[in-house]
Amino acid sequence: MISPPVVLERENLIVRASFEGSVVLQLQGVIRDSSPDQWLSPLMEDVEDAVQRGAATMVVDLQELEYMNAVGFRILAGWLKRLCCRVPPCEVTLRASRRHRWQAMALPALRGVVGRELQVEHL
Amino acid sequence: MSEARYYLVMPCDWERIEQVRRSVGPCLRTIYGNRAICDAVAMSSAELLENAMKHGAAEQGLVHFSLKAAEDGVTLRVRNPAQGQPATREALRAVIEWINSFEDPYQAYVARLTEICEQGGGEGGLGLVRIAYEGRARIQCYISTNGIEVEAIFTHLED
Repeated sequence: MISPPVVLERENLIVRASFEGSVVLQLQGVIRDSSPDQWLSPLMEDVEDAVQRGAATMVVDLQELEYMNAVGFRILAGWLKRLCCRVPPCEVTLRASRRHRWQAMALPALRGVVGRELQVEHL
Repeated sequence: MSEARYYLVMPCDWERIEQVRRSVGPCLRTIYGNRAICDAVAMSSAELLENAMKHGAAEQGLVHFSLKAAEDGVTLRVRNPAQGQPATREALRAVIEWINSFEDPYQAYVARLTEICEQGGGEGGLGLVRIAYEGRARIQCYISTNGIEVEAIFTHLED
């Protein structure tokens, strides 16, 4: 069963998720909340359900995510590590933009920590 | 010589952090030609304000933010007039000492990320580590009767 697409809208942020075959997450705007896990958790659970049902790949498009605070990045990092290390693993591709310094610096470091199941494309 | 100064005494209101972050970048672009340092200082402004507001500013209600930018570097200071709990003060001091113990802040960044990924640890200073790594800044803290002040000095102004 394929879950319908999800669109989450918050002030300064839009998250779109689709679950056809592979999972595609697109984030646009700014993540700056003190507790983003409160509204991210249901979406992360949807993604984990899709992976559990057989989606073996996921694309997380961050090109239009201008800024993410450390709280948000901690949640993203821990979640990606869990997805990439599950059995069987989910292969995740992060699409990043060189326009955003935080992405150019943080994402290669994250790839080194998570492992080869995580790929980073700088576009 | 070009110079910019930015000083705010602001309420402990999380919503205002984004306004500061968004205004710091354009302010710095009047001095620096490259966008990298502007983005790094803007990010660092937001992270230091988040820390100040999370750790005790509500006791006093006001956070002091200052930025001085000149051709030889940027000095960013955020002061929280609240003393906070002794454990909070010591944890802050310990995190900064830990970061400064690494020759290359990239190593500190990877170590903190590894801890988060492997042990599901809390944020535990990731904001400060990213200031040191992404901003290539030197971080210090000062604890006195005036409160807790964290300073980040940026001298790597090239891309």
